[in-house]
Amino acid sequence: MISKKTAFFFLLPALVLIFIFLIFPAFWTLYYSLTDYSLLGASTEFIGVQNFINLFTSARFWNATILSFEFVFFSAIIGQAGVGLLLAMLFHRKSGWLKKLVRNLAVASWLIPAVVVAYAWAAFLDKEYGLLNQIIGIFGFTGIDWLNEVPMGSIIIFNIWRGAAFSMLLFTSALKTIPPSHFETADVVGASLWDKIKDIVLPQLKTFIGSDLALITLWTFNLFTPFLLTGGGPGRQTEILPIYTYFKAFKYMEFGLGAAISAVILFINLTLALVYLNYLKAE
Amino acid sequence: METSVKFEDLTKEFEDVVAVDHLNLKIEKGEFFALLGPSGCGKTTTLRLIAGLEQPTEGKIFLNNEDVSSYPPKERDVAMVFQDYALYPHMTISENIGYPLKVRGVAKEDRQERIKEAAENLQIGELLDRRPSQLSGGQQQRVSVARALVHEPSVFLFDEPLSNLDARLRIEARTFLRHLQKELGITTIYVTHDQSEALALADRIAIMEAGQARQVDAAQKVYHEPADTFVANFVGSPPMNLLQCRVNMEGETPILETENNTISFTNLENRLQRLKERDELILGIRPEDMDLTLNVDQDEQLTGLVGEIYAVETLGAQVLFSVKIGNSMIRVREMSSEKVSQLAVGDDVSVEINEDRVLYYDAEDKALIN
Repeated sequence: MISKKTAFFFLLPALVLIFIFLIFPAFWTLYYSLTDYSLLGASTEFIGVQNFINLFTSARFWNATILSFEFVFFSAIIGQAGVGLLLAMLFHRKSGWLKKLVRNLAVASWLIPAVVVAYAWAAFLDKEYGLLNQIIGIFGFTGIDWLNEVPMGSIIIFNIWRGAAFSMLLFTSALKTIPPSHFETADVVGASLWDKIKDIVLPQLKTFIGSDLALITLWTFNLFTPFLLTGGGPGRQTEILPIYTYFKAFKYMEFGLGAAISAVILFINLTLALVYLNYLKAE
Repeated sequence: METSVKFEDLTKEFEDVVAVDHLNLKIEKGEFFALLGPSGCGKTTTLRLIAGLEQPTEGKIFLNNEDVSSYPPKERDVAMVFQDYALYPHMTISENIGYPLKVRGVAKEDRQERIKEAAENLQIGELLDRRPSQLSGGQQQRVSVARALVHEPSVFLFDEPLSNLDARLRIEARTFLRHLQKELGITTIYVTHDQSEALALADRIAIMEAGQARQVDAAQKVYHEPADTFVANFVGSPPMNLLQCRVNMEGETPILETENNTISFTNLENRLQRLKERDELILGIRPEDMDLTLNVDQDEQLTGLVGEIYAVETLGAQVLFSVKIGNSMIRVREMSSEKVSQLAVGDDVSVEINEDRVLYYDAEDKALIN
């Protein structure tokens, strides 16, 4: 038996790192959010909640917040989790080259660095030379300027493609916890794929789905990569919160305000995490 | 009798294994039919082929004279009960039983009525509002049977439904299943590796090995006249004794020579016409068709099988003796009596064989010689 003291000693290096790189910056950010710290201004003053008042009265902030929720809802909750679950179901209890191919492609899309993926997508969606428009052209349709005409749709599809693999892998393992006889009973009585998802998978995988949604929601909320596709535009059509933060903090050098937006994101994330954790606890 | 299920050259191959190998079978309407065999013999695959959970590599399956080989499971009008019962943990018992009806779009009131009826048939009417985790193994088993029953299939498929129950419950459930099946008269195909279960339940049994049926017969016949040495060795607990021997003629009297004994049967001459051509035989003798006698006089020249008691096992009303004869072991089952209780390990005994019950198997193809 290891004593509590020894155990703490083993944990110490990790705790130190977590403190330096996660906890300290978080509190540092919270502190800055109460100042007018700026690379352009001369001195840094403590200004209380003024940054937050400015934020909450700014249409641009509300636009970014609503876009972020839209982005999370459609690309993560509906998209990644939905597509991941569907793929996992389609290949559940099956084997063969198609399963291996889809699985490997999905994992590859998840392993390739985000920047590479983003540029690949930018190339894919390009109006003049993009593969998508070329394919559309074969069928006699005229392609459109995807990133300018359906910018939100584009970054949502991009994020689904990018992240569905994680949910697929998680659900593939989770499905293995359901005895095969449960699905076979459903097969014998003639249940459809949707029946099986609704009557067997969703109720029995609640906790797995909860964990998956918690993780991908937080990841997607903090995701900055869409910037590489649309730069937050055109206009502010894809300016989700992380991109808005970037503009404020690093373009206009208003660190104090940037920190305030980060604090809001932190607050939203913490709230969502608590909701999910509570749900998982209840299950 | 009307045929309910028929296989024609049914074959199922998995990557490098032939699970079912050109199986031909006919199962009659209302029959309780058991597929019996060791694990890996293809019995479960056969059942899954009937259900449509597997597709045959070759051959055909007929249900009620209709070729259903390519039909999906739901169009086959069968119901299956699994070893683990496959009850949905998040549904109540009532919802579990009613699930096949719900999937088939039966209206709610109609559904309730049929759930109640099925539950009463299985004597679980008072459990309808509970969840599977609140039920005992035996009750869960009944729920899974009720779910199979509820949409009145033309064939019931059972995949080792009793093997998760403890010994006492298993016998209770067995009796109940047998009774229920006769009452409902639904054709039932029952997969098991437990020969006593198959003997107790089934009207007819197919004993399978390596994807083929070694014998298909009534339970009584399978027990008393196993078609080959595999069946003889598989059915019965303990299994039949198999003794390799050689036929020798002593003038007109045939003598059977085992490893280091000789046996002369009085009525062997009558059988000799059939046995004559063969000089090698395998004798099949059930443990209960033999008797042990203590050899008191060590010097007496004994004929027949002589050996030494190796182990004594008490089986309630009976006692099982293992007797070592040369290099082989013979099992003899005796009703316990005062005489029997005097026999102990190490005793020299002679084994008397009830001649009329001896079965003769060909040493080459291991088949029963009639």
